[in-house]
Amino acid sequence: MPESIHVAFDSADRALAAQAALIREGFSSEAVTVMSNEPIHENEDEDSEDGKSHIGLFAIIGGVIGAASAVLLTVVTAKRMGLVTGGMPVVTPWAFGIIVFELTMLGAILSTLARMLYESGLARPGWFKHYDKSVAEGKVVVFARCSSDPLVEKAQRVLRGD
Amino acid sequence: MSKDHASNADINSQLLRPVMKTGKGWYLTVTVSGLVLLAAILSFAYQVYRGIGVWGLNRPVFWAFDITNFVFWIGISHAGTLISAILRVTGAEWRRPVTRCAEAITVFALMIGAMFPIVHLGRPWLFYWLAPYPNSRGLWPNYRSPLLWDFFAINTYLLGSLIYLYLPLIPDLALVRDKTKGLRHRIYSAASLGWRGTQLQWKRLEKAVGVMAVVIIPVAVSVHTIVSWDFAMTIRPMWHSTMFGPYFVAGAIFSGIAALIIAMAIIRKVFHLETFLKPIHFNNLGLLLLTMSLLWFYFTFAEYLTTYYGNEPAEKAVFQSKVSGAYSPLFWAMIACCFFIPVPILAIKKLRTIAGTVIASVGVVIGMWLERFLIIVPTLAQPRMPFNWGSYRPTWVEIVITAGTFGYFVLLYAIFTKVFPIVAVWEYKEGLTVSSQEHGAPEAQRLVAHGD
Repeated sequence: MPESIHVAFDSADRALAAQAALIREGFSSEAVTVMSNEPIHENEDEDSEDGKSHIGLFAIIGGVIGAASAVLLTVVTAKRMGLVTGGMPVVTPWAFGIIVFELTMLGAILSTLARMLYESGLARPGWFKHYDKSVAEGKVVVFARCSSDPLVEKAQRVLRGD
Repeated sequence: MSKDHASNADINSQLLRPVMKTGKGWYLTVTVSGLVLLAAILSFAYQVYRGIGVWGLNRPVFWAFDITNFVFWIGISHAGTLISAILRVTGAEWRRPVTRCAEAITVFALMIGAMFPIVHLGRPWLFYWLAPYPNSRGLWPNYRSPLLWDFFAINTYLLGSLIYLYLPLIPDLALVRDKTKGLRHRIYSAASLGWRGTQLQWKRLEKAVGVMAVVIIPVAVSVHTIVSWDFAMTIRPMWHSTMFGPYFVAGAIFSGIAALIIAMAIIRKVFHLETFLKPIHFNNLGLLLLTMSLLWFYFTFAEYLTTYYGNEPAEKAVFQSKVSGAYSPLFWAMIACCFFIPVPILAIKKLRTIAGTVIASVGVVIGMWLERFLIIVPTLAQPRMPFNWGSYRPTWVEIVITAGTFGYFVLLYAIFTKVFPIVAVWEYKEGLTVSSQEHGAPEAQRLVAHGD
């Protein structure tokens, strides 16, 4: 029994129609994957499982962690080293604030990258099992994961357009 | 070009041609730029062997070509990430063929600019002493120093720019992966991180790029502001200015756009990308350059006028040396290159052609290098105490190292175009789709021909 079957379509519209038909036939949205070599903006549903992204939230969290690290780096180390400041305060919010700003942004940038890699499932082994190189030629490929023979037949029927 | 006229395969083959095939021009470019870089490396080796005395620096001018190059290249870096991010955030559709050319400039210019604080150290091999890490020497950096702010700002910007360049590159790396075999296939497979182009991956990529665009803009602004504070935080004549931050940022964007136009023109010619990098792109960037030229002139005029009216002796001495003294040829060359040459070319529509914008841009790049030099050297040569005045003349070592930075930049850029698609393939295709869906217009650029 094949794990999945797939069909390469010439247009995004036909691929999305096939995806919708598969879901109507009882396939879960997670079992149907559409692949393309450019973003498809039709049929975007922000409430779907795909639409829920925490990248923005993680950027904020990363920024807060970066800011906290910067405060620790500047304030704690400056106090511990006993810098000679000619009678001026050892901890200077104006100057240290610049370091805090930069590390806040650095934290946001790194956490955005990390969260994006995590949420999009990149950098994981076995990706090529469910891939068709015709995507590179501009085809829009619909993969349907099938857990049983009846599902395979159903998927073949739907994807053939019977 | 619409998708009806140019199939996916056509777009792929044209945009991936520089990656798949190597022409004689590329080898020639790499050879010439590599030789210039080699000369600079040998000069630097000579400097390390003989000591920094081989430079023309002497009391009181302890900064000259080195810091000029530092400020200049950090400024050039504002071409890419900042402009690309602004265009992305504002949804300027014409950005699509331009963004990657620009983002690559940022990374390479930053790499070159960031070298100079190390190059100019008396003992550059001990540069790591400046980094904050526990050590037996009892050394620890002082976070009050603007030079240390540079360290944090430039590294944040470099890392952010690399990520901002890499994220939109992933789908195109996957495209190259699917069209190559053997070792190249394996390398591109690793670099594309198993990208398949699922709807989920596209959504996450676009979300992440959007977040990065928002985050990177204040970082870019902060970088050149902090570079300006290397000077403005001192009380030297004509440096201690509250407007140095925005003045430097405006100058950086100005020189950055000019560098981008030159790079795009060369790429267009060498790789025959006339279909993708169209006159409208040069027209729009030319209009941006015109705006920045006017803004730069406004800042320069405001800066010099207040100095002139203040009539403070130390400041006036520096002012006079620039306007009518020893540095006046350079000063007026700067004004000509940054204002009097580019403004007419860019303001008159008939002259705002590809050739016209390139001529204006070459002038701006030269003028902005002179501007950095004129900010630094005359002030150092004429400190507040007149008995301490001096002069500066560069030696061949400094000139060759400076030339080498341009060779290095061209070399890095040439290698980048050989390894990665220089026009974002998926973004370009997406632009065509969006254009045809929203307007039914055959040309993606028609969406945004603001320049006309």
